[in-house]
Amino acid sequence: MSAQGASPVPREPDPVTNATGAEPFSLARPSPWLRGYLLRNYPLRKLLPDREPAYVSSVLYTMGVLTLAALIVAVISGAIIALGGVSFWHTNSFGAFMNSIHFWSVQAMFLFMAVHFITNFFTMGWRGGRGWTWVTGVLAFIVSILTSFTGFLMMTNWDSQWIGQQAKDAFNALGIGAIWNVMDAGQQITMHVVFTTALLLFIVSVHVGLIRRRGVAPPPGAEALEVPDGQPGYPAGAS
Amino acid sequence: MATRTKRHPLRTWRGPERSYDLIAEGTIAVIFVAVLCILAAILWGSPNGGLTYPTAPASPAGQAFSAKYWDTNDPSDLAQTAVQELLGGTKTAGYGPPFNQTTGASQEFIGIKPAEIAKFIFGLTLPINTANDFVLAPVSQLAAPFIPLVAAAVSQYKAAGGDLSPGAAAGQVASSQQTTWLNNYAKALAASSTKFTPTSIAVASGVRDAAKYGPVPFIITAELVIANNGSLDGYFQGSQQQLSTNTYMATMFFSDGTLWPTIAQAQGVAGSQWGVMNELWNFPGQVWLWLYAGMYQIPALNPSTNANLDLDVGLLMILFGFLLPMFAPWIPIVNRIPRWIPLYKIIYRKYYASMAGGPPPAGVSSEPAPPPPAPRDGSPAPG
Repeated sequence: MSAQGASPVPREPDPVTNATGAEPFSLARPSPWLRGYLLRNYPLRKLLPDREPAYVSSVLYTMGVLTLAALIVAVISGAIIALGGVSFWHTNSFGAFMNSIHFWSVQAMFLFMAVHFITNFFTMGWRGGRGWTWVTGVLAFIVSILTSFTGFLMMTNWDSQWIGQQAKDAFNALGIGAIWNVMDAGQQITMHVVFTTALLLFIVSVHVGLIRRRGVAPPPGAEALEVPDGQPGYPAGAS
Repeated sequence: MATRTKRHPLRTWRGPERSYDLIAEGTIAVIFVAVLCILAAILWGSPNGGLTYPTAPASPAGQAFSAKYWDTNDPSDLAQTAVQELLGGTKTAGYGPPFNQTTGASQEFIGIKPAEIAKFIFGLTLPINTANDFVLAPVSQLAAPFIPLVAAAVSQYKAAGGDLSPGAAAGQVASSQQTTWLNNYAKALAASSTKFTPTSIAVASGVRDAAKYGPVPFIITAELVIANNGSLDGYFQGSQQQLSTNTYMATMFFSDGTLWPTIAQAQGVAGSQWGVMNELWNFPGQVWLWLYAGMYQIPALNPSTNANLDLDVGLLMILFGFLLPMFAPWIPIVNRIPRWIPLYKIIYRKYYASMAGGPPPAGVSSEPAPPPPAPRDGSPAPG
């Protein structure tokens, strides 16, 4: 159901921020606009809900949160390994154990993500103005692949040597190899621990934010039960 | 003037709802996955078998391929590869950008060569002269100062010509005189009568046959010696200025030999096997690269003869691995697949069953649910 043309409902100022959500942007004083934007797009009742549509009650709908949980486990275990240095896990039993947790969390993350991806394709999760949710989800998937790839390249063992030597051909053929040398362990450490991980966390944050804002897509045929805020009867005041 | 209206960013589901808590669900999910991963870590650990493979000597966890390992386990392969590096006859020497100026080596698609474009923009970013970087420079630095015969051999070899500049094309690396020496010596090394140890080479016709081999035998034997005592690895891992983490030169040198792919084949990770999808033995690797790895097996791409295979696969990955899933919702036919294969009817079967008698009034729950909390945000309470 399109919300185009919905009559704007006058808002009362939010009692906490005093924002109405209609503040114009100003370069000199952007804060009121940002307060209004956040109030309009990310009210706390959307960010921290305690009710959900009944159709979400399915194990398939846990795949998104399980993917996120696996990412958290991967980041924590990875941070511990990184604190010890790039090679210490080869000779330290605690480091090796952390590496094992890191390894399996990544495997779990991709398994959950694959099911999440397939589920959302077959439920057409992009419906109802959720195009950016879909796009950021695919981007998160691709950057996850790059993140895990650079992780395999920075292991400083035979595996990483072999994978780097094999992968260089595609990178060089595409011209990327001129600046992204997959056989340079130092560059891959930066790519894995800093760049791709930070990029992934940013994209995932946007993806989750969009899901919290729009909610999950309703079952096909039930779109009419999803009402844009701002329509009469649904002013959805500030939280 | 007409009032500008915009689609409101928020939507609210007015159908049946159920009670849950985002924080509680997230916490349970993290604990569940953490326990799952800890159990897997205890039960199976993770792949780090080093260079372990059937019939190979024991390899400690995390071992990397090194010149010392190469020399210890296959000095013949190391010696023959070193000769080919001097000759400019290896895969590295003939690779082209970003390693060297060898022409005609870059892969192309409809006449476009991305590697050449990158070279035009960035230059030769990873220059390698296989003769100098893999053999002559390390031998000059590590062996020649202490062994006069080797010093003399290096001087004689360099005096015979050849282009030792960074990134020299394969055809320029060795002069005709050097090529004659190297071809003769390569033939001698390949003879079954030639005996190798990690620090010596015994050619049937004698290593001091200067007319046939020139100074090459002394240089190659020195290469084995510095590989065997570990100093060649130190050379590759070091730098003139910094502590280097960029080991690409060593990797390129090692991969020119035959022991390198032999290990990969024996471990089941070669391109013709599971490739990057697999790790040592039965450990999963980057399983999610199935599409990328699978494309190398597509008969239509002629994997065994296609000189542009990597570029073809790379472009297909951009198309099918990136653009297609990214824009699937807007691509006709693709976005109809879920309608043609209506799995959503199974996924939402409970919901559709509950709505069989027609949708309930908006905001009325059709499922048993605890009483909704009092509305705190101004929106009407469902149910």
